[in-house]
Amino acid sequence: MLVEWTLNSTPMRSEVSPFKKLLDYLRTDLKLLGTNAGCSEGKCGSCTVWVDNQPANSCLMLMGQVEGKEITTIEGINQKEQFTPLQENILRCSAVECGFCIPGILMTGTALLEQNANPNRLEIRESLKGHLCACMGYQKIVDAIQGVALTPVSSGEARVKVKT
Amino acid sequence: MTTNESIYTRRFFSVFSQEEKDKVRGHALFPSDHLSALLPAGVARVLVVRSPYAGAEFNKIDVTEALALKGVFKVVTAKDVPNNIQFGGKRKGGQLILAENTVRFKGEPVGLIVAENLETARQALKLLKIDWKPLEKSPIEKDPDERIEATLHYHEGKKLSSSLDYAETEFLFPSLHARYLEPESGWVQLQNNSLEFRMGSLLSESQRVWLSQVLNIPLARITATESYLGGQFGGRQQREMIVFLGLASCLSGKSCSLQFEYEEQDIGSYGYRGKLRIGYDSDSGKLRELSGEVEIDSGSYEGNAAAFLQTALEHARSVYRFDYIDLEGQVATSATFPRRALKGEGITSVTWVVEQLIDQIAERFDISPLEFRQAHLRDESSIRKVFEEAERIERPFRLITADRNRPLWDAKTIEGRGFAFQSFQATREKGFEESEVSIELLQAGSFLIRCSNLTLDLHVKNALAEVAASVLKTHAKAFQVEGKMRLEFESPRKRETYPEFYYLAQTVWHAADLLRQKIKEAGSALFRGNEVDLEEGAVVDRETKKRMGFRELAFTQARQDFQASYILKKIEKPLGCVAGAISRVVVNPLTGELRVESVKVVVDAGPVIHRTGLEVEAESAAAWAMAALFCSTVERDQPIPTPVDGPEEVSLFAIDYPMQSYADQPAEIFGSRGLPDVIMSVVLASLVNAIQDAKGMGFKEIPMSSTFMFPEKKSTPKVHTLNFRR
Amino acid sequence: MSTTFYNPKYLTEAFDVLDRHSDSIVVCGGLTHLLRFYPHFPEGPADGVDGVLHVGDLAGLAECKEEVGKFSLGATCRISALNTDDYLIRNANAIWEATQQTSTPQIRNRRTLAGELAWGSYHSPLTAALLAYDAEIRIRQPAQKDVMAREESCDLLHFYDEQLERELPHGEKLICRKSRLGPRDLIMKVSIPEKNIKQPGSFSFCKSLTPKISTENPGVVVSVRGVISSGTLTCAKFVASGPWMWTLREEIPLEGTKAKASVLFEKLYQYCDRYPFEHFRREGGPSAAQLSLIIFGLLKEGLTPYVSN
Repeated sequence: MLVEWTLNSTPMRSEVSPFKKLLDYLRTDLKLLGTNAGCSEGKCGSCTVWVDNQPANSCLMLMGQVEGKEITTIEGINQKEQFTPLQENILRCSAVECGFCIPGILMTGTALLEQNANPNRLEIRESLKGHLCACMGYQKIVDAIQGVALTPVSSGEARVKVKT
Repeated sequence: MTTNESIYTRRFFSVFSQEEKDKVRGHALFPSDHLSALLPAGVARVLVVRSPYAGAEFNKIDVTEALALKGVFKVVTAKDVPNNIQFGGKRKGGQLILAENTVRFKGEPVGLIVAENLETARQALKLLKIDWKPLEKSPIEKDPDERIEATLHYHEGKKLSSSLDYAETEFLFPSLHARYLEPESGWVQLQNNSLEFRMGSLLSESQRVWLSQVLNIPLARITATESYLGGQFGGRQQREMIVFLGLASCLSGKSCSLQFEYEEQDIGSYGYRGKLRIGYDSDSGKLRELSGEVEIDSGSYEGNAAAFLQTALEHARSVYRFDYIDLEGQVATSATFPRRALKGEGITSVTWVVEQLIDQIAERFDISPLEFRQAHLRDESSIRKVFEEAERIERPFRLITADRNRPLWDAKTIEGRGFAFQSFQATREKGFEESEVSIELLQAGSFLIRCSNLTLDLHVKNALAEVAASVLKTHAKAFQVEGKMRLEFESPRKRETYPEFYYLAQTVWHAADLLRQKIKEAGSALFRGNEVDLEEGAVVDRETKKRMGFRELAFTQARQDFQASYILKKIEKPLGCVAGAISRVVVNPLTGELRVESVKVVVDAGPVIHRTGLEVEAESAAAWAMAALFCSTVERDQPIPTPVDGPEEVSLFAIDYPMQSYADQPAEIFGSRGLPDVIMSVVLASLVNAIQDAKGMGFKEIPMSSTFMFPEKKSTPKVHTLNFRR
Repeated sequence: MSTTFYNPKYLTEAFDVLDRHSDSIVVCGGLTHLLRFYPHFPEGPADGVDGVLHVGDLAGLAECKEEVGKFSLGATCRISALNTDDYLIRNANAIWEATQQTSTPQIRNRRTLAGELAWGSYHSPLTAALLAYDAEIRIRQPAQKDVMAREESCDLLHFYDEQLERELPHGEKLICRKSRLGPRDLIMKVSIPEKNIKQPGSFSFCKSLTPKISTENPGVVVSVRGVISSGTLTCAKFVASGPWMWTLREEIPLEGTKAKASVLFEKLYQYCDRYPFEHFRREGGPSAAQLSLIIFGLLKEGLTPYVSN
């Protein structure tokens, strides 16, 4: 089946089985390995991409459904010379350990911040509900997302905690 | 931090390590990435043939049809294995690499299919003919006495003649079905008769030796390179991975890849159950005796269960003083997947029980939990420090006393608070294997630290970098830390993959100190024999104050001049660590809903080199404790808390030690042993006590059962109240 | 047998496929259920079928709008779109709350209303909320040999008639509501009578008890729609269901009770205490007595903002 879609702002025409999962196509055929395959059943969020600018599990989409859609992966939000504000904050808050969940969380976190410039901690946790981190919990990740919205208290101050 | 950040940022290299940068950009390559897209052409796929029965016999595996299928290269059974020995464990009768005619658990490996792709391998699996004879009972269950593999005994002091009152309870601590996110994956390249493994971890020397015995090939032909790790962290599953890949590759003549399916990864930790009792003076409540029985369930094969049971028995007393300790332990098998060790193994299984009993005794005498504990602490300074810090932190907060006699329709949420403490007993190391580190100044002006250790996580790497940075007077981010296989160092090291930060830190210090001397000598030569100091990533002439940065210095000399190695051969008794935790929960007495509000962890870990690593341990412990306690009554297959499960706040309070004191001389202690175990045990135990406090009743079983979590009413006619303990 | 994937852009194309195809076809929306439980779809539930009709992106089925005497929710509306619909936010709080509680944000962005209803989870908050609103579901049945295609509506409660046991790939079984959908039937929309929404004093809520370490399975879901007028409870319809209980839809017999916490909650407690939950209780959940407390707790939580102290 011929599928016409957009990937990271690039128009694509893919001859592919409509029953191939988007996740598998991204990773195996297009070699875009930033999106990770964890549970493959929509629970862990490692496979999160944007579908028409909305976070979605790519393990729960078939290529047949991708027709006409705009898909954005972590490679699509990376900037050439610098990190995005959220990537920078994730690093500053030491919120990375094994890193497997991070690309998916970045997709969801970036989408959240584009919709809501100043989410509180509860809103951040709710928006991350579809992500699992087996290494270290979510406190530092929530700090990082919240930190993008808030002005730093002083230069070098990376962690800002506000009780809700 | 040893340098001024703003000066450092003027340097050309980034404040973040390459590993961290890769990970936030999605550029990090995990083992499963290799299998998805990066395998060279011609790499075969391995599928493990596993028993569908928990207890069965078989005589024959007919591979004829499977082998005839186009695209199948080899079908391996037990008779093909050059040396079909045990996976591990000290006793005989352990699990063989491939079962020969009996299986004890559902999923026990009996063969391997090597095919051009997974689809072909799955088709071949359907064509295999195995004459299964399912047994009514697993071989383990046939004879109840056969269940017990070993008995242990831990004993201290003398039994008192006076009569005591007792607080006692049975308990059941589960096998935790832990899975990390990434499926366990790896591949092996067969080239010139040598096997190069590409997985998340390197191979330890003992794994190489074991593998060379199984495959009957020279040790030198087995090597590994490391990927970033998003999945399992070695241990038993890694052994399965390497031996199946090695067999498949050697016997088929092909490079091979393997990924464990979803069900193959659901391996549980050791389970514990038993009965513990604390004897105390009936008039004063003074603790006198700790006794009981603990049984560890090792699954179908014993493995290392005895060692973990021993740890559990040794740590049952926690931080408290008992006149007499008498604990019996038994290692038992059961017809389930062989268990493996997880975080906090052994210590975590008993701490929550003892701490619950302590709370119950305190309550009988109407003494506050902290005050009661204070009166019974062992007289060790570390324990006192942690306790005092915990008291200081919690002093400003008081719980509002719940009115437990409200009618149910007017019931309000109830708060609970719990405390717990534990101390890791670091024993003198028997047969400590050497730790070797090499450190090199690169021409880019950054440093490369190579450790003879494996599976270093990011925070251990950062902490080691901090040690070296302190000695070399530069920024920690200038250091890249790698684990390297032992064969690249001088002498073989037999121990397994467990990262021993405590030893590594000392080794890094000495290696960095040696390199410091070399840098100073080179700098002095360039500054016409003047004395020099290291400062802010540069060599500084003491007299003229002229500076030369490390990068410029690296260009002036041959590379080997800026390389130093150190082998740590001798080790004093390592320092254990002490931790305490305070948890708060809120319970809805109507719906049974339980919310974890906060977890505070106090730890004495010696001088803290990298605070973030400790914070991560505390947050990770809270996540694991939540998974253990709350593993859903409705859905049990996803034991990782989500962001909305809480707790909202996890705070770490580390006992302060001066940080700069080890720049010029090695510290007496570099961190402590047992940190993850102790932190995990106190977090779980404090949550248990907080829940006991809020609900007004203790519990014997983790995860909490439905009947415990959801309220039961008393059926009195008109007015219903919940009767809680006072 | 190879399977054809149909991805029509327009409704008429979809109708055409359904009318002409044999019964060996599966209609799907967002695929968040099918792929979650059958990772090798169309293997699994679609064994023996030769067509998959994807309607998730059909123009004409995704609109939410006011019609005469009712408010309609298009079948292929995404749950996330319902969550941001102004009309629902202002007038149908239970439905809005239900969308908040459905699964995860990623799944809400893909799952359709029709998919949620067709799958038939007992723990679906949205189904409970729509039942509380006496929602109607409109289904198109395909043309048969001598019969034209036709559309018919029925009460959402009667859309389900039995239980369905789904066999999952690893041998587990999942019990869901069995809908009356035939293989080529198509859910068109769900409508809520206007009288159930815009009555003065109307209120509604949806609460669920979700065990921890789980993203999908509220143990119990409760939804209520009612009216409080002049400080008195005029009516309240409540729906409860979940993995722990079969579906229950009842009028709470407390009409005329003062909407004051001290009065209403005691009566509500007595009602729950006496209610025969043992007839609705499912195997493996809490006891009937525990269920009555849990449901009372959820009802109380939902009603608290609407009653005076």
